[in-house]
Amino acid sequence: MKNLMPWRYTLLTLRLDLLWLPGVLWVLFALVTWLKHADTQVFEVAGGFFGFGLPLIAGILASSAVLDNPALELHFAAPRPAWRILLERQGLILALITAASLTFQMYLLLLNVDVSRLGSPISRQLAWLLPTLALMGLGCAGAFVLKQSMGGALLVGTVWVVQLIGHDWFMQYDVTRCLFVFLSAYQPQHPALHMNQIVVLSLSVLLFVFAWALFKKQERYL
Amino acid sequence: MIEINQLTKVYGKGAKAITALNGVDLEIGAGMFGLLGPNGAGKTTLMRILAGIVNPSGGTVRVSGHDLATEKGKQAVKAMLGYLPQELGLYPDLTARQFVDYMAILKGMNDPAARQKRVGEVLDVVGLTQAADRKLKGFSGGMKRRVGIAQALVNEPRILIVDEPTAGLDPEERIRFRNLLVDLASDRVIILSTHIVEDIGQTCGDLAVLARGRIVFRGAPTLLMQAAQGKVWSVTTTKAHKPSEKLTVISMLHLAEGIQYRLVGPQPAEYADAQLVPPGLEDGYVWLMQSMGQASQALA
Repeated sequence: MKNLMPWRYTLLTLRLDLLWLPGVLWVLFALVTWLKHADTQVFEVAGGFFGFGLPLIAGILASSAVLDNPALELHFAAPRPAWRILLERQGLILALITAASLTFQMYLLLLNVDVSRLGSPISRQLAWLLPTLALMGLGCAGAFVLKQSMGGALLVGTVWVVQLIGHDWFMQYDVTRCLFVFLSAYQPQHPALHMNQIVVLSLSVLLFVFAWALFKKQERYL
Repeated sequence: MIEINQLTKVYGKGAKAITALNGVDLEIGAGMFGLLGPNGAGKTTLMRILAGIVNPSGGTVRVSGHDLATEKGKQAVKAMLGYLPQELGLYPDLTARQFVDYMAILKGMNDPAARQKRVGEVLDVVGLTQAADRKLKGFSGGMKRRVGIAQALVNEPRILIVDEPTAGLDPEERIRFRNLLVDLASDRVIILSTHIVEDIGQTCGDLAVLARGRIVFRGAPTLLMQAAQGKVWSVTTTKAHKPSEKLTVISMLHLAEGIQYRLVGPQPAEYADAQLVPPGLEDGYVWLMQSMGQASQALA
C-alpha cells in the first residue's frame, strides 16, 4: 500500500462502522422515493431525507468524529491547534453529508420529482444544511461536555425525537418557533422562516465555538 | 534543556481532589534520563505535562526556553517533540507505513517526497521495513510498540518522551528496544518513564524516583545502589516459611540444597548465616521505597 492524501487518512481514521450510515439511509430513501415517485406523497419522502434523516445521521457522526479516535493522545502531542483537529474531522463529516444530499438531489431530478415546494435552489440547500449544522454542533459539544461520544449521540437523538414529536408545540410560540431546527424542511414557506434560519445558524456557530473551547482542555479526554 | 520548578498537578476539586504532582523540581539535560516510580506515582502526568497535553496546576516548566504555560510555548515544544504514550492507540486498518506517514503529516511534515523518505528510514530503524505495508491489526504487541517509536522519531525530535515503552514486550524485544533508545540518546534528550528498574539501569546515566507526586531521589544509578549498602542479604534455607515481613524478597532461586533468597531490609535475625551482598539498582530502589513506607508509618 502507498502513502495517502491527508484527507484520506482523516477519513480512514473516523469510525468506519458508522460511516456507512449515510449510505444506508440514502439507499433506503432512494428505494422508497422510487416506489412512490408517481405518488403525491413523494415530496414528504424526499423532504424527510433532507430535513430529518440526514441531520440525525450527521449529528451522530459528529458526536463520534473526534473522541472515538484511538490515537487521540498522539494528535494532542502534535503541534496542531485544537480548532484544526476539530475542523478537519467535522469538516469531513459535513463533506460526506453534503455529498449524500447533492447526489440524492440529482437522483430526484432523474426521477422527475418536484421539490419546488422547498423553495428556491438556495432554500433547498438550507433545508438540510441548517438542521445538519445544528445537530452536528449539538453532537460535537454534547460529546465534549459528557466526555464520551455516546452521550453526544444520545443528546442528538433526544433533541431530534423531541422536536419531531413536539413540532406543533414548537410552532405555537415565537420563541420556540425560532428554535425549531427542522422548520426549513417542515414549513418552507412559513413567514418566520428567515428569523428561524438566523437563530438556528447562530446556535450552530455558538455550539461549535463552545465545543472548540471545551476541546482546548485536552486532558479532559485522556 | 528542561527546567521544572515547583510543578504541581491536582485533578478534581474539593474533597475529591487528587494531587498527582506536588512541588516537583527537576533539571534535565541531553542524554537519557530515567524516571522511576511505582504505579500511581505521577510519572504519566509528568510526561503528559512535558508533552504539552496536560496543564499544570502550579509551578513552571520551560523546555529549551519555551514556557509550557503559554499556547505558543506548547506549540513550539510539540514541534520538537517525539512522544510515545503509555497506552498507544493505533488505527487497525492502516498499514505501518501509512500510520507513520499520517503522524508525520500531523507533525507538520508537508513535503510528500521528504516525508516518504523519512518514514522509510524510521521504519528501517525499528526493524519494520519488511512489515511496513501490512495492516496494523495483524501486528504483535512488540511490533506495535516499534511502530510507536517510529512515529515518535519521524520528525527527528530533539526531545523524545517514552512512557512505559517496554510494558508487554518479551525479553528479547525489551533488550532490542533499550539498545535502540541508547543509540538515539547520543544527540537528543530522551526521558524514559518506567516502573521496570532494569530498563533504567541498562540505559540511563541520570535518574529521578517519583513517589506520591514528589521527587524522592535524584542522581546517578550508582548513588541509588549505594543507598542500599549494608541492606541486601543472601540467605539459603531449606525452611518452608517465608522471610520476615520487614524484608522484601528481591529474588528466589531454587537450588538443590534449598531456596536462595535475595532480601532487602534490616539484618534478618532468623537467619544466622545471612550474608551481606553488594546492592544492585533494584535493591536500591526497593530500599528507598521501604524507607519511605517506614517514614510514613512513623509519621502516622
